[in-house]
Amino acid sequence: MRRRTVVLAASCALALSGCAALPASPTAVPTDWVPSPSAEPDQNNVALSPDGFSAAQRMTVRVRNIGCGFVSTGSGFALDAFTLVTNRHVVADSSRLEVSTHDGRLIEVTATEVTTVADIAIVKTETSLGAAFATPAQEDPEEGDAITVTGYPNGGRLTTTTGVVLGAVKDPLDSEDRGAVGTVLATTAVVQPGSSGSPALNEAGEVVGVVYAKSETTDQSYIVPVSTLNSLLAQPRLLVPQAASCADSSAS
Amino acid sequence: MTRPQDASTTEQVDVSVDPEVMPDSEADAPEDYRAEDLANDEDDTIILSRRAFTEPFDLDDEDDDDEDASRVDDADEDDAEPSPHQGEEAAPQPPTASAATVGGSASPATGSLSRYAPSGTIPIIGDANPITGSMPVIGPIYPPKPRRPWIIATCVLAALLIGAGYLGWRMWEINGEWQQYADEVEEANYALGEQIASVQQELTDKQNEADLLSEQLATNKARVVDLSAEKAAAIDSSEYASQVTDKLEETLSLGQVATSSLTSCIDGLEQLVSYLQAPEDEYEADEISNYADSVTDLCDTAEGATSTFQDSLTE
Repeated sequence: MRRRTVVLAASCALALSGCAALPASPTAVPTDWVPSPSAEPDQNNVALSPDGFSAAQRMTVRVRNIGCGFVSTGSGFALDAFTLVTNRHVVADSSRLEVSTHDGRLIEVTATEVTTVADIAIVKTETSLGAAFATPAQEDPEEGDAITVTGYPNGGRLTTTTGVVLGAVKDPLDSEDRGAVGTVLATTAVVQPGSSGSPALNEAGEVVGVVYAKSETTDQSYIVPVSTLNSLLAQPRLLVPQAASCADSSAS
Repeated sequence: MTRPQDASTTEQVDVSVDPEVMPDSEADAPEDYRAEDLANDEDDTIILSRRAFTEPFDLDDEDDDDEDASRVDDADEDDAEPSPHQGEEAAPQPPTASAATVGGSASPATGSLSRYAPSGTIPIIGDANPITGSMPVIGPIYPPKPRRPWIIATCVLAALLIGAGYLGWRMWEINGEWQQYADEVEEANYALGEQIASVQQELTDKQNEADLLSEQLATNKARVVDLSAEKAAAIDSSEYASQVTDKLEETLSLGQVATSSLTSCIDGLEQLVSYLQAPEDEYEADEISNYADSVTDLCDTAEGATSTFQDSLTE
């Protein structure tokens, strides 16, 4: 009797063991096939800006030097909301300086500081220059590095050109007013009068130099390396204020 | 209970008991038949182990067996009684009760299998009449066939059948559920496909709009740059014009100074001429000479102013 029970139980167990091989019943059909989209745009997309201009274009300004009987133009770039960098010769002999942004806003200059160690000037403004500012690189570019120059050649339209760093050379300008201590960098970027003070940017968008001269015979241009700029910014005592010189000239 | 095997055994016994009713040809047959039967029994018959006496079913079977054996014994005893009409050679001696129980009523079941293999003479136990003539062969008395394996097998098969039926029913049910699930998924896929198509169409439209807006943005950017440049140039021109105006005003003032100086010079010269044309005793010669020096200074100043004016015009 017990053996029969055991056999019967074994048979039932064997029969029911087939249930283990049965596929499970399906669950409910999911309804969350489509994930909820994110309404937040990509904040790190540098290609987008409120007005469609790139950061390099937005931080580049046009400097107008209203001198004593002359008007000259140059370029510059914003370091912060009220400070911009340009060349010393751009702001030389000025009775009044004006800055124009990429969208045509006119900004008055309050103070100008120049240095004799390089063709660099630091200009302070009354109102904000905008929301895009330059980021100086920590190291100078090497030979063969690609650069981008954004400026106002000939005082005209905002223009972007590209080039390659050719290497460090001695300052080709003999004038003491424009001369620089140490070496400068020669590039193939084509610049024109009015491009002085334009930022030279690397592929990461960092400032690696400041355009200050061009060759008369070739298309080479020369930039003050960013290491010099960083040294000037780190040592403010190397910068001296520049007064308006028109009264003196008119007096003379 | 009487089984065919038992019946055949009885028939054999009956045949062996009354050989006279059989034809001569058949009288000799029992030996062949028995030998053949024995051979078949030896080949085909398996005596199963007997059940224990403790089970009622076995007890009944044993009773049946005992009854069969007793019937055989009775028949044997009947046949074994000496008949005055029978000769010693005519009636084969039936086996005694003891002999009949050798193959038929075995000892209680021991649980082991044993094969019935008659060979040699049948041992005679106890008092028996001497057997003369041919030796009757007693067919095997099979133990009752156990029905428990069949019952167990039936139960197992029934359980398997029930299990298989349940499995089939479950598979049918699950299959239906999965088919319904597949239908719902297919419907959802079609809905998603329509949604994707709609979104793709909308994306294409938006892409076209984005391209158009990008083109407009580029145009507007270029326009903003142009306007900014124009504005800057206009301011430059304005500043330059302002400087030119200042310069012209300065030149004009220089011209005015030169003009007034020249006018003074001319007036002085005219006055000096009038002085010189006057009678000699009317003016002192020294006074006229001093006046002439003053006029000369005026004219020199006018000449300088004129020169400055001319220089400013040439700048």
